[in-house]
Amino acid sequence: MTTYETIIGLEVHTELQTDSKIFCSCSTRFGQQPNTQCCPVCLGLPGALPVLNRQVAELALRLCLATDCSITPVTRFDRKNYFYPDLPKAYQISQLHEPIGRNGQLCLKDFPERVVRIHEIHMEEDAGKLTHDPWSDQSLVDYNRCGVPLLEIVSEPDLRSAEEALDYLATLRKLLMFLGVSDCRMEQGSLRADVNVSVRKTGTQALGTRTEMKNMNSFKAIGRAIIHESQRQIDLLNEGGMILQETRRWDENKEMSFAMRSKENAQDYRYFPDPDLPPVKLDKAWIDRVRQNMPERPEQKQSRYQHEWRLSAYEAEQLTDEPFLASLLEQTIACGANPADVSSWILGEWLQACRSGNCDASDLSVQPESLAKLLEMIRNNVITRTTARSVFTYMLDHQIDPESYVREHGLAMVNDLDDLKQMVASVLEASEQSVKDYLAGKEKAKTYLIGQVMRKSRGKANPAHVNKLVEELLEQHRQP
Amino acid sequence: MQLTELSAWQLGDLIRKKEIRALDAAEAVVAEIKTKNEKLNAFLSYDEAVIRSQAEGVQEKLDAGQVLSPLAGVPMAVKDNISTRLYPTTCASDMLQGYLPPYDATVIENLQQAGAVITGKTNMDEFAMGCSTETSFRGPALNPWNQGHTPGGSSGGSAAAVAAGLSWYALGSDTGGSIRQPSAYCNLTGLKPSYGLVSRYGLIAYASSLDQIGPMARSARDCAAVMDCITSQDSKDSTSSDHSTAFKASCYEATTGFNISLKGRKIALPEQALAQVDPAVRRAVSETAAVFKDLGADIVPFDLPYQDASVPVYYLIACAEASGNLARYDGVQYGRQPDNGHEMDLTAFYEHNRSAGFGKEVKRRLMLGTFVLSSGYYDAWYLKALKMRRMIIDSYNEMMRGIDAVLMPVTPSAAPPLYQHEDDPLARYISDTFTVDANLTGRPAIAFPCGINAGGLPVGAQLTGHLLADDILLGLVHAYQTQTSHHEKRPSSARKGEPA
Amino acid sequence: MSEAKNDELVSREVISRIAKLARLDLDDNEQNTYEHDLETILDHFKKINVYDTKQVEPAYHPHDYENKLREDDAKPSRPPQDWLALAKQVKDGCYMVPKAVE
Ligand SMILES: [Mg+2]
Ligand SMILES: [Zn+2]
Repeated sequence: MTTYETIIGLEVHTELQTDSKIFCSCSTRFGQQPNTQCCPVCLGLPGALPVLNRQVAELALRLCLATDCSITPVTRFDRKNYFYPDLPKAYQISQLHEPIGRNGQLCLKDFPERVVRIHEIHMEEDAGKLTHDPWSDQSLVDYNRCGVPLLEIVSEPDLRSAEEALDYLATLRKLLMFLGVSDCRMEQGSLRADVNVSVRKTGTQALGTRTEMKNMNSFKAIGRAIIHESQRQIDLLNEGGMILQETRRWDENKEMSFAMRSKENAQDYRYFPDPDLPPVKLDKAWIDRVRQNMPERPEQKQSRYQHEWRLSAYEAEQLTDEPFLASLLEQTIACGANPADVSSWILGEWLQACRSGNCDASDLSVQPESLAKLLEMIRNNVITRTTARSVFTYMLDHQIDPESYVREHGLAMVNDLDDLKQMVASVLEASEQSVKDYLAGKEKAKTYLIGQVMRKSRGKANPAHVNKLVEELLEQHRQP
Repeated sequence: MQLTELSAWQLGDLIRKKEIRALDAAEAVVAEIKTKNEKLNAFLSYDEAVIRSQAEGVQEKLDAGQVLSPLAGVPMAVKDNISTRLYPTTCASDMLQGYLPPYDATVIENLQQAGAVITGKTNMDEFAMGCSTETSFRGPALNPWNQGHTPGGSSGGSAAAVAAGLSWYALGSDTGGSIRQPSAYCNLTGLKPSYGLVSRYGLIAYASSLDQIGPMARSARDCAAVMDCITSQDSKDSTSSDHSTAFKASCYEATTGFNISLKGRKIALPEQALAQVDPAVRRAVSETAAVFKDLGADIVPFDLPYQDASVPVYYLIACAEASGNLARYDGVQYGRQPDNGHEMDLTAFYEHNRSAGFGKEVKRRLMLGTFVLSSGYYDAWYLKALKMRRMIIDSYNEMMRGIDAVLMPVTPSAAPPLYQHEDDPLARYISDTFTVDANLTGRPAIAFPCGINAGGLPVGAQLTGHLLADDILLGLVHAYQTQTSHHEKRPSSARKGEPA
Repeated sequence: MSEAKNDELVSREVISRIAKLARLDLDDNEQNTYEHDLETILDHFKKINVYDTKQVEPAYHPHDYENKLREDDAKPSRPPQDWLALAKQVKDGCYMVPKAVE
């Protein structure tokens, strides 16, 4: 039987993290009432003119440099002409002839041998949002999103499987977030991909006819769609059929793709240079400045955490999963905390609190200085980790200084050996069976007894002392 | 003293010296508009109450001692493609009937700051596509010098209004000659400023890389005073020049502070252009050259570069840009919108709205523009035109070294009868041959009166200058106008109170 | 172009395709007129082909402005009614158009 190879190229659209839109001063905030973040420019009213947001060029440059693109010395905007109600000027300001960056690359994480070439990166404006009104069977248009800055990152057809495509997307997403280019909130549509899929007989060179699935905004759907689409094409070829170059729509519920009406396939966008926008010259000084202010990339952070702070590879990877965790780590260490302590607390208690609160890591309002103080109290034997946990839980809802809180609530660790000895003795007395079990060789019984002592002290007992005292007193029981 | 016969500058002087009130000027012009506009069709909209309340507002400021500008309180008219909150802005198109812009163009803000009283919006060719106002949805304006003739276009309503005494000055817009040609046909002085000197924000675009707003008035001095009010570096227009603010002062000075000396000035006269025009035009332009020579200027020969390419290059670029700029008129957000839109499918809805809303000439240019950008034709037509545009720009830069201005006709003849070339678009396009270069190169050009032909119609001459040297052009024409009286002639219909 | 015969610059097919692209619904009469007009106009315009432009950079603008940028400052917007009042068909704060989503 013939075997086939799947060829995938991705066009990723990402919304930039700017305060204002690409060509006007309207806010980019998500989730506002319809048409409340609009002006003559983004509504395309007659006579209104675009002026480029400097930050858009800066962020685009950042991504281009981070993906080793060659920077176009004089970059220009073009108009892409087509009629659709989400496009109030009936053209999208985009870049065709002189995109800001070309010929870049991105290395995958789990497929180290696969270097995906980036064909180009260009700047453009987002369109408005259409919804269907079932009552009137008409469409409703909200232009709030219209003019939000986008970068389109076009890969070469270098990906060979759904796994590779998802790796590429995850790697790119992480990079975009760490560079401060985009928050990549997929549920808000700030990262979307057009997926191009074709298949060819294994061992052949020529590319097959490709189909395109537009505007996909979930990793899961993209993975499923690639698998289905490549299988559909292979089945079709095996039956002696032909692949049509077309745009298909992936239906997530039905787990199937459908060809769009052919009208949407044959387009003639009549691109031409936008006469309202002068070119942008990206001189060496500007590029150098962006390069110097380039935020650290996730993999750079990862290796620095391992070498500078002696964190394990696993920890370093977890902590660079998203920019918030990395910055929490770095800021807390900057406040004087021990790196290993911070790492273990973030990956332990912090993330646990998010899981139980069902929120994002960045939603917890504990400040790095407070966390550092808390961790230092553990390290200096001022409080036990158990106490620290309950203080931390309290800190999630209250603005407190952990040190004064511990002082005021008498939560400091009990270190007095006499007090502790008494406490241990009374626990052993009350737990005859466990003592017997221990003496009979059941090590577990000791752990239980230590737990009982800690409980009795409401978590405040110095655990090292307790451990030692429990052992000592148990041994005394052994003697007749 | 008849107020309407004064120049804008003189009227402003009287108001500033409190010899008359702003309201007196407003009443005078309202009376004229009411008697004459019905016939001339120069205004598409005006509003007596709005005119009076503006005049009163300006007077209050003047009485409070605020210094506004030399033109404070002088009533003026605005071409209907410049967005105003005071009046509907329709581009003389069915497509924009009833459209009241929710914002003011930058030039309007500047004018209001300067104390202008805006009387109304003037007739034009639909979306500025034409040279006669014949393509206006509301019918053509008439030439006050002879009502069987066109006032020119596309700023024909502005020209008719100023020439007939319905306004002291007006704003026009010039994409390929639309300020200068009607100025020539109506005996006015009209400046197409350097590209970028006057903000385009709020000017409803025809062809963005060519459009420029400018003054149409009764003298170079009035034009200079208007330029002083409207010029600004506008952060809302990316094609606005950084030099605009610095330029303001010199513009006005050119015609007030000193009388420019023409000693050592070089004015070029392209013989080949004179050979192509009506004898009356040829004679008038030659005489103009003689006046400049008497004033001390050197007259030197000149060859218009790529002259046969100018009109094609201009129309290919203008129509291509227009096909993008006018795509937004689809009946969704504003202007003409159907009652039964919900019954149509999306494509039918667009096609219906656009076919019904646009006139014949607009559709013709949209077809041409769409064609030259479409797949398979872009390189051969549009890109070719852009390359030719570079060659034309470079040639002018090369050939105008050491030359202050090029003198030539504005048009091959005086104003033609109405509807002369109605069914011959090419003939109409070709008549733009002397005006389009200034737009293609971004250079300033000024039209000014230089005689009356045997039929009693005005003839104009044109000076093209250096980028951002609009003040030199104004100074040259001002010098000319101190020596001649062509610009002071008024059509008999302009007499006060007489119906047009 | 394959669509146009020999030295014909525009054909009826081209005209009808262009009209579609421009979203203009032209009747037969109009199509004839514009076919004739464009043919005449372009036939005159083709004389620019006598000039050799191989080595020439296209001029997108009348002069060489560049880097006209604004700072990333968001400003509050005006009430939506300022724009929505211009539209005939509005619902729930949105513009209403013929069905465009499936
Ligand atoms: Mg795109
Ligand atoms: Zn906006």
